Amino acid sequence: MKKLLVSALALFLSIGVFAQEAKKSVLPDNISVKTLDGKTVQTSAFNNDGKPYILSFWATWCKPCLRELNTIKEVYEEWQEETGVKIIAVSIDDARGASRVKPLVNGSGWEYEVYIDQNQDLKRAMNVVNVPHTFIINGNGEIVWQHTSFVEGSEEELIELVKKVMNGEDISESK
Amino acid sequence: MKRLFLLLLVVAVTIELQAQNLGGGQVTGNFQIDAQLSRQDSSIGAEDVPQKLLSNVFANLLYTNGGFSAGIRFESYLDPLLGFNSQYKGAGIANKFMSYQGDMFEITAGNFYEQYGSGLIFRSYEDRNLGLDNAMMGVNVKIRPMDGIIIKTMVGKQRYYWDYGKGLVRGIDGEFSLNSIIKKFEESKTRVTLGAGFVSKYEEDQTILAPTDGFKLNLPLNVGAGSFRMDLAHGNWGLQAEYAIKSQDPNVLNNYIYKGGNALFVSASYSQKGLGINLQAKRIDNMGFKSERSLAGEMLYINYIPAMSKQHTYALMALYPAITQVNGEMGIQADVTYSIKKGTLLGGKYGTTLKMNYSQIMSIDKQPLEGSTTIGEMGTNGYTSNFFKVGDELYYQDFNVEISKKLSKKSKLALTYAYIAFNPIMENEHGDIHYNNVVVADYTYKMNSKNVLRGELQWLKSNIEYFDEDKRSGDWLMALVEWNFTSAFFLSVSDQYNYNGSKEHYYNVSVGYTHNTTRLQIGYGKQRKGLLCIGGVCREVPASNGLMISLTSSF
Amino acid sequence: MKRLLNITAIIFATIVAFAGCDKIEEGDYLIFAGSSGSWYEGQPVADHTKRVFVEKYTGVRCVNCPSADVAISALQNTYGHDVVAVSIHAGALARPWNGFADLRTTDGDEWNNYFGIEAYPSIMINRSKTGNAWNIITAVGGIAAGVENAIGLPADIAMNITTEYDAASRGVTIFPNIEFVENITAPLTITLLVMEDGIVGKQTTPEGNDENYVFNHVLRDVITDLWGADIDADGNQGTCRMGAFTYTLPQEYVAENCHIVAFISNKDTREILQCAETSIVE
Repeated sequence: MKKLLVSALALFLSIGVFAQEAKKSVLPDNISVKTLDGKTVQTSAFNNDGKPYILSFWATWCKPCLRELNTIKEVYEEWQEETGVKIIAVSIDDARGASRVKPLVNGSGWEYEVYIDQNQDLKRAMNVVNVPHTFIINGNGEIVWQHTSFVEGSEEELIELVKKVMNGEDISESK
Repeated sequence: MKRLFLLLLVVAVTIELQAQNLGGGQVTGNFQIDAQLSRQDSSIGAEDVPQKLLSNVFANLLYTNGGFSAGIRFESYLDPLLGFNSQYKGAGIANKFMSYQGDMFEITAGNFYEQYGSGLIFRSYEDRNLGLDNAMMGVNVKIRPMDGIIIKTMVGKQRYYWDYGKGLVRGIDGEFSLNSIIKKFEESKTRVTLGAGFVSKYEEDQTILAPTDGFKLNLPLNVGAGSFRMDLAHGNWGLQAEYAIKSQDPNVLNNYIYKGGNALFVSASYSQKGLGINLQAKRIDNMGFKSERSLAGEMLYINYIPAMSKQHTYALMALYPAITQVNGEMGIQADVTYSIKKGTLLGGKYGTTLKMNYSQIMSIDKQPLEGSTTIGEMGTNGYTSNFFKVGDELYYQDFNVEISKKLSKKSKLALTYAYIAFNPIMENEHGDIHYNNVVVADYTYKMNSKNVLRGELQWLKSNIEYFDEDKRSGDWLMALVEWNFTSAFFLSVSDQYNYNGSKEHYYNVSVGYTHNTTRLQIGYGKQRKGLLCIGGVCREVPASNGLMISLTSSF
Repeated sequence: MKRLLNITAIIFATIVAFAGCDKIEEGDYLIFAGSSGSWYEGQPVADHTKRVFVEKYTGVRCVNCPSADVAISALQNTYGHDVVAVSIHAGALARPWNGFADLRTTDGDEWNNYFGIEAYPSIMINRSKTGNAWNIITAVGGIAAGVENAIGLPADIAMNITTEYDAASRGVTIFPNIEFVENITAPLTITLLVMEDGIVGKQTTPEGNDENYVFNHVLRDVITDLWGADIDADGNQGTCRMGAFTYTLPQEYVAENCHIVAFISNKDTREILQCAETSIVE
């Protein structure tokens, strides 16, 4: 049994290395999430007309998440005009917070596309451990960048990266 | 079985690694390593850790190729961190699954997480911080016969540390979106979703002696729970409701009474840009539903009933959290978010956000049975309860207001006040209700585009004199300063001071480094003993004094 | 569309009905857990040898089980009352089928599951363990060796057993009388059971089905709780205690063919320290 474990772990780590070198991961397209109106949609519906978009995992109880989404709110209009980028915010709230998501989103004046991932299927499929966890997805549905944690100011890095993606630059090695 | 599974996975992964060049499939994963070094500190009640180093490790590996996916999770607890059950001790593959999704169906074999509705009758989930994982081991099938209909059905056993619970859990759930099903309503502004679920548990008979000499309980081997739910949305308005019932289920939580259980949850909301209002009400009566009837503690719950109150994140506000009372509680909650526009008197140059939240949780009405004077006597129907009558015991009350405002281009301030009443009966302790006033100021200052400073000041004033056993009562002050260099690095220093009480300082220093999805955090300091609660579910964490290292990454 | 909904509804209803929930009527919440007896001062016991409890898990459709019966009755011929045998019909090969009688009991099924018995015949001697594993003999040839190893040892606790039977009410009062030969600190329980001899029925044998096979020592009922009633004694050497247990013999058992078996076991390990047998009707 122990041997088995060791080999499994070794396999695991080696795959980790492989995966880093492998081609870009794509967004899982067959996970069900709910809209704020209770409608179930598949993640295959996530898109921004061929332009890149930002996918951000958050929760009503997560202070840095709220700070991130509130900070971006200030500049979102500007971003959209400049780059056409879109933000999809996925809440991982369970039954305790899920019904507060819609009032919070509207009350905070967020203009994002918001979904609720109550069973955390998408969170698991995208290997999200902690929130906030932010992804940049390019026009082909590929994950080109991801990052956990937020602090004021990192929204500027984020939009710079989005602009690079729009220009077709490879940002996988930059931060 | 385990070996076979692994072998298949290895084969699948090998094929994939070769296939990758051909453009098939992808492998992703994540891991988390938490390590702890704690030493004895009698002033806060931290016990000696003879192993010196404790660690919890999680590693997930996920393979997907078109509709097919498979995954394993390695876990090791050598030995478990303080506060985690010692039954976790060990290492191995804790979780494994294979899944295939076609156009109209999805089938998962192995471990899976699922929930029906809001979870009143069934929710299998994982919360690593609580050391809680009730993953199902079995088969889960989802069918979408047409747009707007989802039927789910499953069978399996629940994870119990490194084993599975004795009870067999089976369930079926249907969700129907009327707007998609009925052509006429397709374009309707009103969106209606209806759902119903049923879950049944089978567990072998066992001998549980009754209080009457020479008698034992005649146990129902099959226990069922069903629920109906609806979700209405019309423009700015929303209404969600779920009602659940449970059949006779004498178990250790309800002191082996034969009364059925029921639960009602209603939530109404109105929101427009800048204003969000949410009102909730719930009533829980004898809804503790486990796959092993005689197992106390937090493991092997089939259903999930969250606490109906705001989940606080500021340390002193979370000092007295609400804990779900599965045997009976009634609660209401009101939550308002209001954004005051820029350029108005109160809104100032950048606008102001106002949040208000009120919750109150009471006991339910319980009357002894005819001819009896006690409530909840073993081997009887227990009690009767008037559905609409509120019980006379207050469990929890929380009124809180938060004002957050951007003061200038560089600075932000959030002020929060909370009044929290906490009945120790929620932790099965007897004593007077604690009434606490808590004030928090949270200030962020952006020095330049790379350096951000943040500070918190927190003050908790309690009406309860300090008593030594709990290391929590009395009055507290807390200060925190955090320096962030972009989102890559942070350093934070904090101290929680029980100034009117144990006079103990709980200082903490942590540094963190994040690169893309890899995050390393090292903390040094003292941890108060107490309950760590998430979503109304709690874990007892013993006091510790030492080093805590955490590394997470995903790829 | 409509048909689809109907089908869905039917599937739903079927599963709900199939995997539903058990309803227990209000008067039936409590059931008899087995007699727990009452205890009095006892008498010294003459015989201080340790008798051997031979427990056979068997089935009417188990082709190799009759050979175990032969082996056990040979041992009883050799050692007399020092070998107490019980036949427990349980498991897959004990299911009634095509003219075979159902000799199973819920108590027997529970023991069968608890000890994890999957092959038949399986023989346990004094419910002994090696490490944490139960010693289960599945080879008929191993029974004699097992018994011979356990027989003739001095007992830590001695027991005899007497009964009073009232034919009119079919009430049996059972008096196990116990003497502590050594100090025993472990908690002890006593289990009483009824077994019946001379049941004639169909049994599979290597020669085919025997329509007139005679079943002896068939477990009918456990009088106490499955895992025994606590023995009210301090466990000091020389202590003598006598218990009194009452039981009503069900009509379908032939009183003349019925025996009472008592065994004393360690409450924690469940190993059997002593046993005794008596008939109900003199």
